[in-house]
Amino acid sequence: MYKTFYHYLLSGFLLFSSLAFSQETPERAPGHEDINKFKQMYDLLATPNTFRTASGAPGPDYYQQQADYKMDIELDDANQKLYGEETITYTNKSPDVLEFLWVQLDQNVRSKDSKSLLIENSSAPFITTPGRFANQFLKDPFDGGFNIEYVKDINGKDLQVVINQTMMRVDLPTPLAPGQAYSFKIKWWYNINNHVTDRARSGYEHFEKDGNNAYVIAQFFPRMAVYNDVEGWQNHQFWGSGEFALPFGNYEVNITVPADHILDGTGVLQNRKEVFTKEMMKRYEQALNSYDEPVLIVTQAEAEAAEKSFSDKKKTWKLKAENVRDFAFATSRKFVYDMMAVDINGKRVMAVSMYPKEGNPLWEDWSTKAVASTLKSYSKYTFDYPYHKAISVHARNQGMEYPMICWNYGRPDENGKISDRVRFGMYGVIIHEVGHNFFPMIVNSDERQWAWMDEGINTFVQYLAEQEFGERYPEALVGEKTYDKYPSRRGPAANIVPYMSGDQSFITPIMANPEYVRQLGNNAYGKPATALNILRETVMGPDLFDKAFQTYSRRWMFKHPTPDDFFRTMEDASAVDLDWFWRGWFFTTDYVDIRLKEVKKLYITSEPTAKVKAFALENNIDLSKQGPLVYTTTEEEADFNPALKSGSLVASATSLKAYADENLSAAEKAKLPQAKFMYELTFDRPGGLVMPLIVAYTYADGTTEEVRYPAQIWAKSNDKVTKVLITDKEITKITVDPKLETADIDVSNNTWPREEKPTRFENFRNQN
Amino acid sequence: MEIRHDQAKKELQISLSIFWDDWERYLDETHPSDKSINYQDNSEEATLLFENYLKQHLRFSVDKQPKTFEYLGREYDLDVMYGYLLIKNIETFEAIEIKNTVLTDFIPDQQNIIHLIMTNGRKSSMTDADKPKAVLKTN
Ligand SMILES: [Zn+2]
Repeated sequence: MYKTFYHYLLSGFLLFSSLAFSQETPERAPGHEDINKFKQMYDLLATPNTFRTASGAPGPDYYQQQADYKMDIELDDANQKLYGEETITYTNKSPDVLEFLWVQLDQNVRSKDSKSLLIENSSAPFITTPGRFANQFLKDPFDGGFNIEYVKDINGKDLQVVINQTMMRVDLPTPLAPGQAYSFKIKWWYNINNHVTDRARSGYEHFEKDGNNAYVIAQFFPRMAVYNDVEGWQNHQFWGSGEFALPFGNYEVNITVPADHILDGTGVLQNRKEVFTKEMMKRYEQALNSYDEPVLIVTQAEAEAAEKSFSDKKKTWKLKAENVRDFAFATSRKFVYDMMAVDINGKRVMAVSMYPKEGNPLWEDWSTKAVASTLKSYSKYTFDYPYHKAISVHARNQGMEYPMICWNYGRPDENGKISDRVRFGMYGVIIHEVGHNFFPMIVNSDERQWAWMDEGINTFVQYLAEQEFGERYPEALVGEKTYDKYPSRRGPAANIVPYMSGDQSFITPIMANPEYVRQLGNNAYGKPATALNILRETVMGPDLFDKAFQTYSRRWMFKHPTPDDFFRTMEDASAVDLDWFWRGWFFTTDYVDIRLKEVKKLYITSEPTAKVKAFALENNIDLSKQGPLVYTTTEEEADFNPALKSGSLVASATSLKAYADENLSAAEKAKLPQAKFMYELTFDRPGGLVMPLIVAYTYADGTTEEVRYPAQIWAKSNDKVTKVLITDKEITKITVDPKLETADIDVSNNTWPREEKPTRFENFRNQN
Repeated sequence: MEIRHDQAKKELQISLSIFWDDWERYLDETHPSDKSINYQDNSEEATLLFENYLKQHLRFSVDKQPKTFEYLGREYDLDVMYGYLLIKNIETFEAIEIKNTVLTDFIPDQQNIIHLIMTNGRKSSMTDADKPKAVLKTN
């Protein structure tokens, strides 16, 4: 293709083509507002203010509240109960006077009379298992939920509280002025649930064979709600799907468990020498300097011996964490425990794993290395991981995140066999949950309102981190099959097509609350992750994207961003107008379907065609008085002259040739014989989303060329784009989005000539 | 689930996908002591288990006539298991009714989306625990 040449052709001549024929006056249409796909987002974004700026950064008056906790916790392993006493110190950094505080009681979602049981559907299944039927309809519900023994002020005086399901209002004796802090105490206990049978985010797994429990404990204490400039109090109830909104603070937590338990959790262990044996200390010192291989602090043989001990003595583990938004811990006598040092830009971070022997051999081989690789990848795309450790705990069926610690699934079968599904499921969940340290533990978005801000953004970085894990550890990609790159489940554009092409009544825009979102996995994880991946690879390019994304992460590190802050920062740091992208992908359920509607092979002639003559007659145009003209025609027209098919385009139009002789430079003229073929391509958009137009041309000699037009090609005419090409080689095939980069839901209309691809069903049938 | 009407072959070609995670949950509940089956094998036992499950949890009727389906087999990748079913001798029809309780009996919030693809367009619907039946009309 010769760009300079066809540019001249289009600008220098009147082409009597489709343009002229389509100018029939329609009925006068009614007026409309600005409905252009590229309209700026003034209607969707909050007005910038001194808390949050128009560039997407925290403003001069940005504030956030602080909640500090001192807790004493005791686990009753024999009866699976947890007892706690805490002092919360709440500092009001807002400019507002607070009359009361809201405290979250998430465990109440499991209380017997929980309203969340009422909103769950409970229609009778027409077929089910006896166990399930009994659990659902015959058994007493689990007696979970917080039993609050008292809420007192610091002098021991009872405070007035009102509990509304999972939210507790603490009425302050005197309102809390800006800048003031208030301390109060809560004592509570609750029955710990079995998270395997309950499918819960926290609880214990019971191991029938040895009689032990492995605890992964979170949402275990009454926690402060967030108060901020966008929501006031975020006191939306916890129904189960919308996760958490939590302020930052400092924690001092003492946890008492059976003496033979191994425990780790959020924060720096304060009394390592008291709770570690001498041998463990020695191995720990070794691990501090082992950057390539994990060092076992507790071996499997030691864990197996501990499984039998059932000590009735107790031990207290003391943890202290600064600037975290939550606290969680895991404890069991079954835990194998290993650690490895990770170098994050010169700073040492410990990658840690805890797992029952049931996780081996997979866990001892890969958990800690997956943690380390994740910290490196995420630090590269965001900011250096600021905490001193990251722990991956193996808990059956779990994938759940807390500051510095997370629970992950992935268990070999009883014979120790590891399917690829379990293997990559385990890598993927560890990368994802460790990644949550960055979003939302540090870039602390409001999960209860916007699931995508942590899940979607995190799933996007997870994709990059998975690919890099595969590059760092190719041996990890050898399982039942050997993969040459990490088989990521979410990220690649084509993987989101089934969701995007689904029935519109079962899809919700990304910008919606997780409690009513349909298909949360696709809505809050898959679609935003894919959208960001497309933005990075296809719309902005990695350089512009990565810098903008890093800017967002760093601006909002240890702060509370909103979606607007993200949308604005991505433009602010890149100078790429993305309003069309956010509007389409995040605020609507529109999908991508770009169609190659028509391909016309054109010829040029100086002789008026029958079509032109008819047009002239109808419109009273005297062609002979129009000066020299050039006409386009196609083989389909009845008066087509086959002689036009031989030779160059210019040679067949004398008027054009004459013009060229007079007006073109020698160099330009030398290229004329190469202009042999002319095509007019029409693209339209059955789908609502505008996207870059990526077109691959295959020529008769087998060569191909890819042309990428930016999304703004749709700016003036949102619905249709026409392109004229002049080439020296005949085009044999044209494909829109040849590498499946845009999540185009119907690729059957992307090619010329049209191609029928066999369905999955037909493929299966043909192979079997 | 995708139901494709092949007019030339007079068939309804049905493919459905189930996440392995979900299938494993079912197996855990129904065969807790039987961990030795490698459920990803194409062993007769593992295949039969799936086939029988589908026969219990899927009912089709075309223009109010119950239709039995032929189970062609399954395949899988890392996350998803695909099952293939065939209903023969379907030339033209006005409506198809699907009763689908696949997974909804043990995953209460499971939603099964159904696409009917015909030469002249497509129709979609959804089933869940509350509403296990869906009717898709061809026009
Ligand atoms: Zn997540």
